[in-house]
Amino acid sequence: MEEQLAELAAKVAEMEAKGNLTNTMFAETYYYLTIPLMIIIHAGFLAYEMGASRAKNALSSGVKNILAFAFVIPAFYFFGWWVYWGFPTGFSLSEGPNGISGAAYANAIAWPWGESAAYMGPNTEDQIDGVFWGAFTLFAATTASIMSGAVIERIQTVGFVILAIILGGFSWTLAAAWGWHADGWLVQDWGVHDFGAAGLVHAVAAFFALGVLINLGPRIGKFNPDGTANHLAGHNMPFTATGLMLIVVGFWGFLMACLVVGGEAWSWGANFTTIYGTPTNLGALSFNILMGVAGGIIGAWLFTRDPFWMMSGALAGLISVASGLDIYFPSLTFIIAIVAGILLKPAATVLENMGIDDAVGAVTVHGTMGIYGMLMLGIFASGYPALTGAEAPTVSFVGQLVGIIVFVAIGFITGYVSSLVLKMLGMLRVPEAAEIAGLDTVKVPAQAYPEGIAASPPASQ
Amino acid sequence: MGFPFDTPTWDGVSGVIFVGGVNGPTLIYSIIAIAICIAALLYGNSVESDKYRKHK
Repeated sequence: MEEQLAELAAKVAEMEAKGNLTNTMFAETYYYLTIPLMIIIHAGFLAYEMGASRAKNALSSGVKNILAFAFVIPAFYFFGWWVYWGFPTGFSLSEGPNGISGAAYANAIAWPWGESAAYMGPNTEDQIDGVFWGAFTLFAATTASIMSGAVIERIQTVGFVILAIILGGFSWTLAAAWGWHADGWLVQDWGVHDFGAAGLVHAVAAFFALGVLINLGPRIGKFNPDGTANHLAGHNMPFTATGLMLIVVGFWGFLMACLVVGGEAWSWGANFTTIYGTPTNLGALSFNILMGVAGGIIGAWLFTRDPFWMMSGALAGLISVASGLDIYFPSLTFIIAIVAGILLKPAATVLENMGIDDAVGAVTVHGTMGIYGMLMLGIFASGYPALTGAEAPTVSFVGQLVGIIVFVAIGFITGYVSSLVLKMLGMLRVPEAAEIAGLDTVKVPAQAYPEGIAASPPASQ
Repeated sequence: MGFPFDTPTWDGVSGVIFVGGVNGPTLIYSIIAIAICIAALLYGNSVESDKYRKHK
């Protein structure tokens, strides 16, 4: 009998070990797959911005996107990841209540040298840090792409790359440390809840872009002497609309990566949770992402009938509900998103009337809708626990308002100051002659359309 | 650089498996990589500025 019991115990232990291994491999695979899905966001931004550029600037806009992607990755490896783990409690760099933040903790896990390099390279005993870092790196690259569209057709390439490094490596990471990390002071003290990063990714990137746009100035020909604006149409609307749809596809990976897989030592529990440890799952995301996208498209269609704004409406709808994708009821999601789609074009017009040339409406889509989305959660989810635990801080309108003010300030101040420095160094805006000639002709050793875009006659039957 | 473990086999090896291990020149590699990024930006800016000068 004892022998049989011992044998049974051994089998149970073996099954438990296999179960744990399977769960660990699932978690690793889950986050790994979010990375190529998020790269689709960048494929989308690439197509979107090249299409939204005039033909003379199409490749130059694309080069900018490709380089931002490439440079943000090492920036996030060498210092961005440290910022996320070091800064949650603020500039004191002290340890937070969960013991997973502060300078000492970041030094132990996030520098790619010394003992902490064990977490920053191939390690058979660490199946999570690499894929976690990869997912966060793609969040970082996404912020750079959000800024990228606003500044097309007149920004210098290297100047833009430096801005992308600052935004992707520091600005949004600081916002994420404060408002997304469980030890973040905005979460702990104000109950800020921003599940899908409406504020800490979208609004931060958009207001960083606004700070840059103020120093960059409008494209030649955008505004008339009396201040009225001209529409500088991109050369390929189908390419732009397809790019926007690809961005929507990629955001499924982005939002998937906002979940924490359960059952691991680093998890909040046995099941899926948000990054705050509060309950949600992939089903919640499926309901609400689809309803948000649909609402945004319909709202924009009601007022514009324009495929550019309809697809921008899809993004606006998604961003407007991103903070509460984990807990919204889908019908409510749909209503919030429809309003976002309706507000989109008028909000863009307001910005344009202020003399800001945001070439693709990025500040409106990501910034205005990021603010709107954060505040809607403060209204509809007021009183909900913002964090796991018995005495968790709760979501409130005031808390969400404080959160979005901080996010906007981080984005705007860092974007304005860094672009001002680049402007003083002569690295921000291309010379007038180059802008008029077209940036592809000036600096890209390739042609977008070597045979032109001639219509070809149909084949005879 | 050489395999950092006692015998040239993966049998029984777990933990860090990257070349050099944590006691290897990780800091030197990282400094060189950062320097390359900075040099690439400086060179890129130089080339870009030259292109603009030619189109004045």
